[in-house]
Amino acid sequence: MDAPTIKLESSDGMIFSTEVRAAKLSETIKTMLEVSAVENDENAIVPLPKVNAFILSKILTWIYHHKDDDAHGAEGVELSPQSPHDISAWDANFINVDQPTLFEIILAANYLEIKGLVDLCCKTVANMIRGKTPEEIRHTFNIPDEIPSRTAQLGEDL
Amino acid sequence: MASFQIHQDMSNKENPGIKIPAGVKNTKQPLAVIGGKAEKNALAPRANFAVLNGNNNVPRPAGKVQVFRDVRNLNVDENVEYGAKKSNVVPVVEQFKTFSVYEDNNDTQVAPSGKSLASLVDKENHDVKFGAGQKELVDYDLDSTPMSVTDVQSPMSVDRSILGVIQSSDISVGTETGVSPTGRVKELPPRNDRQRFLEVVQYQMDILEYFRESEKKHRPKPLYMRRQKDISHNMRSILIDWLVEVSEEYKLDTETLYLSVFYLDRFLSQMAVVRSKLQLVGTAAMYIAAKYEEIYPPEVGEFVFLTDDSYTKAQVLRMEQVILKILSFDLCTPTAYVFINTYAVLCDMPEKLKYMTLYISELSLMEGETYLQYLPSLMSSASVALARHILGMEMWTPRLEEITTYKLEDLKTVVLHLCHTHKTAKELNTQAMREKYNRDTYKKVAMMESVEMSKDDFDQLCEAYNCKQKEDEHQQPDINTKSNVNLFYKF
Repeated sequence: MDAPTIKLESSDGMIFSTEVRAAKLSETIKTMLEVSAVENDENAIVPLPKVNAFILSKILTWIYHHKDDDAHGAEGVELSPQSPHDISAWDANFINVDQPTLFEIILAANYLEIKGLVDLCCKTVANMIRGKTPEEIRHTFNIPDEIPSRTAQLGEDL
Repeated sequence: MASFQIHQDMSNKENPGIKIPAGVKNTKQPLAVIGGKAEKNALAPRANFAVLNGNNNVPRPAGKVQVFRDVRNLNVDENVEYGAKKSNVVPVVEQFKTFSVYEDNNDTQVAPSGKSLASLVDKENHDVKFGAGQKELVDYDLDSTPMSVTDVQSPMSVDRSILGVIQSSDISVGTETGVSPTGRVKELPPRNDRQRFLEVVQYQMDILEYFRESEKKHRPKPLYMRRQKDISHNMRSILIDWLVEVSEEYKLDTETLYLSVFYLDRFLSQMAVVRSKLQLVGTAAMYIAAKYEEIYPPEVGEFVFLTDDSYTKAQVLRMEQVILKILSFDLCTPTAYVFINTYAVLCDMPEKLKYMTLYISELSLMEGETYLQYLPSLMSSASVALARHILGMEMWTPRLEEITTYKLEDLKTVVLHLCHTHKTAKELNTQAMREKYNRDTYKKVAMMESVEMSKDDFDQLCEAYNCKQKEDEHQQPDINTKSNVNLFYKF
């Protein structure tokens, strides 16, 4: 017998079908399923107005791969604090995207409350920052240097 | 028995020109004596806040408000008489009352013993003598007060338009009702200048225009119930009836109720909900609306208690999060209540008409099947039209047409639907709304009989209105469509 599926609608109107078990990795979708009659209805659609189709497809890829992870799926299971280096090869490959996409994935994962994916994204950003000087961090994330350095200020004063 | 005395400092620094008897100069004089005997002492008159100078030489304009002044024998202690004597107050139309203005003439001074005030008046070259208890007709002009003589506009200056209103709208002094030219009694809302100030009438048309633009965004889907497998319009009506009871129980604003229903409909447009969770959605929607609209919203625990502990606090809070996510946090929207309030301000709607309009509008909340397809501005306009018709007023006016941007013909379908809804309201199982509007607070508008109206009746009303419009255009080509609402502050 096939696993029960639900349909998710992105902000731009694309509809994705996925397994209920996988979708329940998202706390938001899980609550929606509790409230709604979606699980028992083939035609019912869960709207996700803050997530576009491209990002939703990426997220569904991730949750489908992690649907059997007990640590992510079971409620109340505390994960031991992991170091930023503990990223699996599959996850590292999955998250190897350009910065705008990475930040959109972070926003969508936060909106959908997928803890594992939020952690993965944050570890990735942490790795991008590790070992860099403030100047290098500014360069990496295109942060303008709005606060002039103390020496420059002193130079102006003199 | 010990006497209790209240003293007044007689140095009278504010009025240095006033002479005080030698024996009184440096003594403390009792203002009132309880339980003991005291001689009556002539006290210097106290300075009044706003003074109408009797000898004012400023030329007076033609328009005058006539006020009666009592001229009585004041051979008594000023302190006893002053508090009770109200005849020297210039009456102001009730709705314009910001402060009382006193006339500073010999009325306020204590007459020497044995002489009546009438004899003092006689000394000032008055032609007629008045005995005690007689009245003198005095012409007052509000423009001749020192406050309005000055060209400097202070925050305390009185708007001259008050005079225009007094003269033009046939309002009898001291009452809140006036008679319109047609002979029908026009009930003016008893709003004071502070309320008027907060109504920002000069911006209302711009606000309305913005509302009309924003109401088109984030509309619930009119036919969403077709997608709902487990709930129906009847269940929705029962839920809304319960929400009305909740809003009355906690004295929530009517706008909170309208917003709750709006959030509920928008959520149900997006999500299929099981019937066991419908009340949870309604509760969370009202909780969001209360937090958005109320100054002191009820706590989550209160809402949980109202559901008879069917849900937990955590469930309500979780549901709140889900609703906000589905609505994308777009909570700001104009409801029919907002439009009705704005129309009430711009048209000086009588209270009874306003409450009848609100009652009809709230009845429409129950019937999503019929009314979800209409915009709130259209719903509110139709409610106003029907309420006017029920109260025996002309159904539509050029002013309403200008404000609402709807012609009477545009309202036909909605008014006929509303008329049917109003008529069948008594037979509904959900009676919370009728109970609410049966109270004295709302002038018992729910008790009023509904009216029969067919399509033909409405067409006749439209024809009559259009004919009258054409006649008015022929008579007055340059009709002034500006609002008659007066602002009481100069900006």
